[in-house]
Amino acid sequence: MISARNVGVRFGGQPVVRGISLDLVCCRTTAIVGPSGTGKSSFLNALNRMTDLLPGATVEGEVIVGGRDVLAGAEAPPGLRQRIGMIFQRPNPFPMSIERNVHLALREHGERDKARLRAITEDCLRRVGLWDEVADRLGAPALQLSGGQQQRLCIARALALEPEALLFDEPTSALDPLSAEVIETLIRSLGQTLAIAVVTHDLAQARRLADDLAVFWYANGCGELAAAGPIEEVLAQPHAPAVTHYLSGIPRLEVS
Amino acid sequence: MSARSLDGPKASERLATGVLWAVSALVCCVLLWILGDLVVRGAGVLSPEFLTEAPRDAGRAGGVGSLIVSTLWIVALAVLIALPLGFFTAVLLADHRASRLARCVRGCLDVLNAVPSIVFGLFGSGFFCVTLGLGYSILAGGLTLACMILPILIRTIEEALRAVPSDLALAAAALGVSRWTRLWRVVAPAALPAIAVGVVLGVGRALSETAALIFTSGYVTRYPDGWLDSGRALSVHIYDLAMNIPGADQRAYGSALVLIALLLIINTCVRLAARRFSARMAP
Amino acid sequence: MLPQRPPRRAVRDALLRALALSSTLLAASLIFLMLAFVAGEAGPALRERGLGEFLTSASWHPTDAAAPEFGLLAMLAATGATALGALLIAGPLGVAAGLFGALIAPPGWARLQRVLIELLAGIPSVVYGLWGLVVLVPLIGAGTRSGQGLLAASLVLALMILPTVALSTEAALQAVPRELLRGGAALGLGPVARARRIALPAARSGIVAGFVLAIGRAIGETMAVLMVAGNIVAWPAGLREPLRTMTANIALEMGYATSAHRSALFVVGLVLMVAVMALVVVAALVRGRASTVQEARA
Repeated sequence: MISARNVGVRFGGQPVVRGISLDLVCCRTTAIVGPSGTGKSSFLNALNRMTDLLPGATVEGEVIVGGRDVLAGAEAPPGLRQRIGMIFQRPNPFPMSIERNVHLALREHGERDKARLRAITEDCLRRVGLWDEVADRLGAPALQLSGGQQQRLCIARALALEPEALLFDEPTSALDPLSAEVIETLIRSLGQTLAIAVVTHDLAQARRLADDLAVFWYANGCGELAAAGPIEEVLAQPHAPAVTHYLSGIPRLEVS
Repeated sequence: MSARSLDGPKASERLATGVLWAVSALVCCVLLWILGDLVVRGAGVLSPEFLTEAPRDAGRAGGVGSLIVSTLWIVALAVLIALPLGFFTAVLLADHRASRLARCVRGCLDVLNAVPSIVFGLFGSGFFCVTLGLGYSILAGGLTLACMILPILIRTIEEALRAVPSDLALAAAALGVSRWTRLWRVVAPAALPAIAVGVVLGVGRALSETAALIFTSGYVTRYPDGWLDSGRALSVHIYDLAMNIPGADQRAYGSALVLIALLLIINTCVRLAARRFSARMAP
Repeated sequence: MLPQRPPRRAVRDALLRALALSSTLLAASLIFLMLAFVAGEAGPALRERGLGEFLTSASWHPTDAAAPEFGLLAMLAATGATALGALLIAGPLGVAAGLFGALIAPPGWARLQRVLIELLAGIPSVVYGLWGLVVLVPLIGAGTRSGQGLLAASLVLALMILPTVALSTEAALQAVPRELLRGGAALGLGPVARARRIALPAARSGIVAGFVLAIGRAIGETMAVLMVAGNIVAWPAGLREPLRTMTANIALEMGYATSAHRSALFVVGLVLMVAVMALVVVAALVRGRASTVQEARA
């Protein structure tokens, strides 16, 4: 479980998001929605300290993972990014073969045994549904795969590290609708066993994927949490008119 | 589910980072050592007389005034010849990015850029001094250096012209402005700071040149009379003092400091002037 | 109704086109002019002695009136040895410095290092030679002998090509898309691991191209080597044994060479030109392979 307590992110001293308290719980999927510029991606980056790599970014608050605050200290605690994986908006496989994409992080973290590497590769490629498509060409360049396949490969290489949680930053916005659908099905199945957070602009997608909803909105020139909780509750609650109008983009189930 | 015990290899990461810091420190220290050594050994000779007098006693006494003049003349000549030639070539290359002609030309220039400076000296000495009958002269030296700095001038000016946002030139074209006017009034002024950088690079290379000048511009140490008179460049003087004149080490160092100072001064002046010029053109 | 544009406009545009074309042709033909001239002047010596003697004999006695010899082999070896020595020193250090500046160092230190390296690159070769002669050579000689020789020449050359390697490595690494590195970071790779496993392989062609350029510079360098290498035509025998490179040879003998000797020096120049031309072609091929890899990625 990942607990964010009063998390805020500043760029060059200017706050983009603040005061976010949110829990990511195993086996539940949280969709993070809101207009552009409300700091959704910045918040996501804070959870696994990817903000360390964003120039000029500073983080405040606490993110409790496994009982300790991972934001404390100068560096990310070892193992953080294995436990919390991240998938980006544009698929970014390494310019190497498919299997090296999966092996690379494993080798770096100490796994050397070739047989185990192969077993892990097959296992996670199966989990993302790529195995049948690429089993005969594991040595082929990953960049030859289609966009949807590349994104699934990125998910596979994160899965190889046996994470507890996966953070998706608009995972399908760069993909065609068919590939997007495949990714969504995959996210739903992964959500059975992992804690998932998905930042999305597509409100219908949020409806399809999420158990919980977190709505980011502008307040005082900065992003803040307007509402959070199980998705049906959040949609049923009253909100400020602008927020309600925004959320009306989320299709409701017909009540018969 | 138990997490695999995968902890990053923190130890080797720290070791490698330490090694990289050490390398960086080493490189920086070596440079500071050389610069410091130059200043320590050479500063003692510097004086107004040093900068204005011609060398005496084969360079063991006197100064480098005449050499500064010769050097500046040679470099100025090289730039005067190479700049127009380079500019118009860059104009053509910038307009034709991928054409066969452009790629051939760039290839030829790349090879020209890689030719060793002593071979330029051979060529200059044989072609300009002998075949064209210029003898050891500032003109021959300037022509030789012009050939040497041409490739780098062309490359930087081409990039400078290409870096000008295309909407500027398009706006001019949409107003029916001729190519000539577009070039001189719109594109070139916008590219001026970057062109200045190219000129600075070319001047830097020209000032540093020794091998190409020994046999083209001559060895004579007095103040030159004109383009056709021979004149010794500052870099050649340093070489002569270091290799052939015992007891002239300190003056060699002083000359080196003067040369480096010249480089820095011309560098800053050209860049400042270009920035002031383009600041005046743009609001 | 706007006044008609005077025909001056067409004339000026035609003039511009003519100027651009003629300048380009002149600039492009310079290398051929040089090649033709050098080859022409080298002709007599080549015809008289044959290229074979130049390339296979190690005896260089051009001024011997009775039996002049024109063997370049020892000097070819000297050029190769000094260039190799310089590359062995400057290669790893330059790549490390470039890697440090591009990926590891905090921005302030990276900028400081780059400024210092660019300063290093701006120092004239004759000043390196002076410093080498006055400071480095006595250090190497350690009071017992002359320090002029292979080690001094390699060290000074290394100083001169270090900026080339470091700056081209840094540029090649900075061209690696940031998203690849972020992807590696998200998988838990630290900065050095990202550099080693992702950035360096991706930047390999750019780094190799930088090496090729550096070799070209090392081979073509004259003054600094001339001042610290000792200038005796001999096989590279040891780190402190003097030797003479091809470039130094031309510089030393050009002043007094006549007829056959002079023509022989042009042969040396021709060999140098061919060598660097080959390197330029190799560098272009390396870069060409890099760009096809880039296209495959798009």
